[in-house]
Amino acid sequence: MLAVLLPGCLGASLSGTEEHASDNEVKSAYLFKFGEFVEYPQGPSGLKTFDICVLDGDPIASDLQKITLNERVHDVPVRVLRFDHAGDARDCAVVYIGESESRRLDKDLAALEGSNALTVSDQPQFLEHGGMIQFLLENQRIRFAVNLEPVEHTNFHLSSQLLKVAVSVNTKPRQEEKR
Amino acid sequence: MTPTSSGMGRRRSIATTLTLMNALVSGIALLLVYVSFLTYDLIFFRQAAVQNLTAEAKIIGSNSVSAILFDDRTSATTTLSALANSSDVTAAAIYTDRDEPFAQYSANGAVVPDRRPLPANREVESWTSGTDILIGSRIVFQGKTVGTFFVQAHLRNLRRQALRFAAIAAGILAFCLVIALMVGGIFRRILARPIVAFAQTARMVSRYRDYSLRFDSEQGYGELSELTEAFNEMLADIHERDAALERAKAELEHTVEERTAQLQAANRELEAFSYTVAHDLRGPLQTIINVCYLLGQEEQQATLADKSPMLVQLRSSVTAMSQMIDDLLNLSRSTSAPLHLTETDLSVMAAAILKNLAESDPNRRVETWVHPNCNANADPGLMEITLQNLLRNAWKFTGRRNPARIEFGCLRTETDVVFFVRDNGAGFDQRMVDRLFKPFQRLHAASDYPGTGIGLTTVHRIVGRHGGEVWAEGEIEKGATLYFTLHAPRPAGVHVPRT
Repeated sequence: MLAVLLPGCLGASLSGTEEHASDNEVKSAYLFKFGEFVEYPQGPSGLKTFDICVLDGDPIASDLQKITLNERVHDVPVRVLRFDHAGDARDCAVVYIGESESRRLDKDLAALEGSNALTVSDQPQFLEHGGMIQFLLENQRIRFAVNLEPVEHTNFHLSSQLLKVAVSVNTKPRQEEKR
Repeated sequence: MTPTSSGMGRRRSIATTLTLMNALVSGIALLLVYVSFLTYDLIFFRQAAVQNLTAEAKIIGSNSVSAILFDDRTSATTTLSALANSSDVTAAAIYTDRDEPFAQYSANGAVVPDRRPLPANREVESWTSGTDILIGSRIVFQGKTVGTFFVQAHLRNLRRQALRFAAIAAGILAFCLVIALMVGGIFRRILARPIVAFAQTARMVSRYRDYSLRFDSEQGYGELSELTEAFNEMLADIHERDAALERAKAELEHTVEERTAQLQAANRELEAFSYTVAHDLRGPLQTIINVCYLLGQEEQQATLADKSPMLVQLRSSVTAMSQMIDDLLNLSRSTSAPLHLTETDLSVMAAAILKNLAESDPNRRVETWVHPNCNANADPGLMEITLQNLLRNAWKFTGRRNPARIEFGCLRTETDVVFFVRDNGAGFDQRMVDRLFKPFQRLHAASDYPGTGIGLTTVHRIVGRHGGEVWAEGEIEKGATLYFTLHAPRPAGVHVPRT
């Protein structure tokens, strides 16, 4: 629902704000930039390409492809891949789960469990379902919230710089663990 | 000591000038120090400030990366607000890589800095103007410029520092002035006062022409004391010359007086001479006139034999006149004739004169005694006149003695030979001895002992011209002795014992 509305909203606000990019363009740019704030404490060993994977043929993929053309992240070339099944995206660095996937969100997240992929989605309740970064709209700007709990089980950290600009950072399970 | 209003700078004393110079030099030195400190401070503080701000700008820039990338202005503004802790920072701004303003910070409503282009090859650039600094810094992430950050600072502390320095410098300057005044005082005592005393003495010397004044050489040091000594020597020199000049002048005056006296004496002599010539020559002349008249009157009646007493009188008068003229000529000669000194035997000369006298007056009985070999280096003509006068006098004043006695002789003293003529004649009062050698002064009545009164004057002159002296000893009615030297003054204690 939101995704459908967003282009219209953004289009209407284009003249009013300094934003020239469409919603999807912004999101794809963010997806690309997230990669740069992913930190690998052991180093990105074995990473030959930085793959940003889009599940379920989301239109974001084409925007992403444009942005990341000839770009590099962590000194390796960026690739944009499309997959229909989450299980195929386990080796990706970033996995974006499109809205169309909402019905099988839990299934997809389960398929990605144990992998080192940063999961990102537009879907509401994405974080509650175990996702890592969720896009949301605030003051007609696209922002994001972070759930650090699933990140704990991966081989990467999210930079404090990224967390600083997140709308919210959910660290509850970790805090509970500590207590 | 103090500058006079009329003299201006030229009259200002050395001490004041030096004090002023002292103060000026320390003032300039202090000003230079102040300016250099201030300049150093400005540069140093500014450099430090630029470095600090640059570091700060980099930190803020890197902290703003995610905010820029994810378009989070709130986060960027929060980051910028941390600048409130930097007291010098007045404003700051972040611009995106598309040069759009992204976030701003402004303390106390300061103007937010405009974006300026950064040189392509530089990550940080700074612009300074006085106490204002502007730093521009690229925000780079993963090798890409994502935006620029500008921060503006105003170095308030620097201004405060400058004022503080100025206050300190003014304090030191005042202190230096006091020191300069004190040093000036010391200088005045050590150097200037002697110079002032020196100048005063010099002024006194030049004003009153008093060259007996001396500079106080005890007061100065070094060159100053040398200077005073040199001046004192100069003054002593001038003083000495003055005295010499004074002496010469006195001498000259004395000489003039002496000459004047001589001239006056000569004048008096001349007057007396004229009078005597007029008076004394008139006597025999009147006699001649009278006798001639009588001869004319009694020509017819009287015989030649009757006229014989008259003729005798006539002859006597003419002889007297002739003698007087001879004496006058001798006197004149004694003064004017040039000296021809030759070895002369005065004994021979005296003997001849006495012989002549005896022949001319055969009735008298006179015992003469001439010492032999009385030689002298003298003018023979003048010696003849001298001896003639002395011996004729002796002959004349012994006219009433029987037998008369006349002696001529000489005594050898250490310096010269003393000649003398002695007689046992009328003599004279020793108290009147001064008048003896003055012209036309007679100690005896002309009727008793006729004479011209210039004989001894002539002797006096002749002896004087030879460089000697004539003097006389005598006693009334007991004879007289006349001494003379020719080449030396009268020796003391020469006396010829009476025989």
